[in-house]
Amino acid sequence: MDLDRVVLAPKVALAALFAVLALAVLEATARFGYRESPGERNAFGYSYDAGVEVSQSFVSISRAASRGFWPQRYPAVAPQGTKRIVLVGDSAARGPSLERSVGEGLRKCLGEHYGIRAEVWNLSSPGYGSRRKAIVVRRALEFRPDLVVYNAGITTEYEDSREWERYVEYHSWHPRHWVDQLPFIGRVKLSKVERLYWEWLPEQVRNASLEDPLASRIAAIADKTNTGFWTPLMLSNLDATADEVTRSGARLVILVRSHFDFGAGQIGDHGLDDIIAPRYTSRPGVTVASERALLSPHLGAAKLFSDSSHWTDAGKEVVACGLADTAARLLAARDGSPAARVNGLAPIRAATARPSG
Amino acid sequence: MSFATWYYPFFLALAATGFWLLPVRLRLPFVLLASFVFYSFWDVRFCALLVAAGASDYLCTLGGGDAPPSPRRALSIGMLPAAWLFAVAGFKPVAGLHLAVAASGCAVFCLLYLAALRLGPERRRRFLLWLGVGVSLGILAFFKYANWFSSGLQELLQHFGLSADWVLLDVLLPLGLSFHTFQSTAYVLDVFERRCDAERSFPRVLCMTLFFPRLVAGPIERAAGFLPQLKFERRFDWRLIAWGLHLLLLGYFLKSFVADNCAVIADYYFREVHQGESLGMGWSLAATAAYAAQIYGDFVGYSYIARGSAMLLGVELTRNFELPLLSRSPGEFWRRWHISLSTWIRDYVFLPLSLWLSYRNQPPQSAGPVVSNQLIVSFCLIVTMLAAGLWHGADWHYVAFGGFYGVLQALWLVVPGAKLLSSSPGILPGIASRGLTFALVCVAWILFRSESLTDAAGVLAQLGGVAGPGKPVPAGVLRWLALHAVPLVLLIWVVRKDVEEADIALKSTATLAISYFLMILMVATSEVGRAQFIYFQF
Repeated sequence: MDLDRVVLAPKVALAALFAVLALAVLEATARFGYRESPGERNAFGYSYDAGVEVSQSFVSISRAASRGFWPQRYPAVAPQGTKRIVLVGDSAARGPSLERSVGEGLRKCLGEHYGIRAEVWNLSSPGYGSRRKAIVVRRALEFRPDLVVYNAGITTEYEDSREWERYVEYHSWHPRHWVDQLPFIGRVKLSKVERLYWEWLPEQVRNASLEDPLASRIAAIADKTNTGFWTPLMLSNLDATADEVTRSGARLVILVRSHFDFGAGQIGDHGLDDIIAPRYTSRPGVTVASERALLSPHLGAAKLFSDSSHWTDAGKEVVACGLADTAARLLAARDGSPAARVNGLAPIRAATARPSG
Repeated sequence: MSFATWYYPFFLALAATGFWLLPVRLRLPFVLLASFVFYSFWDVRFCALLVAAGASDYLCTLGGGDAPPSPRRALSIGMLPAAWLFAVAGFKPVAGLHLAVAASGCAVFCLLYLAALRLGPERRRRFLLWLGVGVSLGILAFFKYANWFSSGLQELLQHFGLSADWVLLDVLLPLGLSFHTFQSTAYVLDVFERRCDAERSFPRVLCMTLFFPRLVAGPIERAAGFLPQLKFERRFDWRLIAWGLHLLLLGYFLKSFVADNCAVIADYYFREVHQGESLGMGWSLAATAAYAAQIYGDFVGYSYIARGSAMLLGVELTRNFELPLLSRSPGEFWRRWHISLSTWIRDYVFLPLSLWLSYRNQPPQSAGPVVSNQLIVSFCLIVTMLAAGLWHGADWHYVAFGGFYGVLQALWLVVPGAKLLSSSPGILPGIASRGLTFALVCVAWILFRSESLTDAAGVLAQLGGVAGPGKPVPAGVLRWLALHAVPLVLLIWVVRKDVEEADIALKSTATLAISYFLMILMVATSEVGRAQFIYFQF
């Protein structure tokens, strides 16, 4: 019985001391060893600075703190004659690698077809919705881009909201999060959730025992495919982002996301084209481009999509060169020079607004 | 309040600190207050039931002795539950009907008690025994089984074409009711059988029911060992705290890491089965293993947390599990699983029943009743286990769960091969008997976990591969199961020659330190409070 075992208490205390010391060492190592702070790590993508670092007049972009950016490095000030374009989006815009991303395709296309030397910063991260894109855009504007390409969709709004709730919870005083805020254990816990729980268990299995009040709360708000719920939220964030970009003097291209229904063999966009184009057509410095309009004219659209919402390399090339056409016009208009040579690529449905100033 | 909430450790730390700082005479009221707070997190109104159980136990045990409480004292204690409900009605909604029922119930109890005081000593003792047991079991029967019986009655009436919506009741089951009912009943019976003396302090009897570490899911304590501890006279000893923390860590490891994470798989599978899906043999095997780990981690973990919490207050609770998964027969399993319930059922159901039946069937020339007839014992085992099944819940799958164990134990009694396998020395018979017992226990757990007998049949059909092709089990699911079940298997393996998991403290300091390190890490990286304890519903 327990009272007989109490004599083991000294041994128990000694072992516990060793265990706690070992954990303390790990916590201290994590505290001083990791480059990113636990606060940043647990910012769930809402940190202003995460993933973008300025040193010795260069900007280093890295994968950090829930930001899945591809590693990149650019001069803090764009070299003379080089246009600076920032691409902000989710996993589709991010691409399977920097070289095979739509941003890189845009850079090549601009150079090859329009003679425009450009650097395209790929600031896209998987699962990013309008709320986190807004923070990324705000940070990017510090580096005075000429053009911001904003990939707008609603399928990631759900994830964005979930991460926002996490962020708010994490930064609350609540004792429930004290463990999460530890540099080592908090990191291990988050990794377990992200790399084991989310990746190993299928969604329907996770949902069956969803007792997590946060997840339940988000799930109760709306289904992730509920466009009626998520679209107004996305638009309100996009409005604010568009205002910030135009105020900075840069041009904004809103590239409306599309998806492919393999069953029906059709490209769809959740009706966003019809909502976004009229809303932003009259805004100075803002242009709307539609992925659906770019991709639809091509026969065998199924070959342009690797899954319902990501492009194949061929799809990326179509989108990149379509975007290049719009970008070239906008950059030319911004410089006050005649539009660059147009090579007759797929016409895009671009509601080009009157440039400001 | 659940042990699995983030705030329970804070509550416990506060309670333990306050407890040891207070003088001995104030500890009992302090623990009572803490227990009321603990239970009130669920529903403050139902504390009236606990008070009712305590009042009934106190009056019926002491009233049967030489110095029964005076009528005035009896009235003041007997009416306490109603007074509680009236007081609570000031800030919580309580239906007028409930108030009336509580007041009249208390009044009837007091009248019966006062009537008993007029009887002779032996008749009074016997009358109060029935009154005490009747109150406890009556409360249990109403709250736990009224819904079952009323819906059954409704179905029966509808069968004859009668509209019977009026018979349906919607009774909420109070948390931990089955546990404190059994404890109350045992106390009344023990006093009647003179196995322990009637306690003269009402707060102490109340504390026996209310003591928060064991309030909602046991262990079911015996008064002889438990009541003396409730004087709280133990002096502060840091070793009690150290051992209590050791038990708490083990408990949270089993609950938060093993049980809650394995529940993810089991919950999914059993929900799909309930919705009529057939996922196939692979899934049913994985889910059965997951549920075995879940229920083991959940209940054993709960018991460790209860014992650890009590130890922080200097109280020793009964050990409820002794590595039951290493059992070599179903009977042995029940001797090592939920020991406080199995011994209760043995002492208050099985033994009286089998002795009574043996006495009725004994040859006229024999000296006394001897339980030697295998048929009688088998019959009693089945009846006893059916009662144990029904104790778990008012549903046919619980009855089947109990009946299955009863039949298994009877088989082990009468089939020579089974008994031989379970008792043969050597590695192979050891592995075979343990494997067989574990497989049978898993079948019983399927009956236990399923939401109906139809669901259970569906799971067993899938397990036997007769339910047609199913879906493949994703590798990630198996990896998740292994990640959370293998540490439990390793822990049991390390302590296999000892009595329980807590005996890991008998190993070397290095082993213990590594275990602590891993357990702290595993608990801290698991979601706390993801799922409720399974046995809280009983």
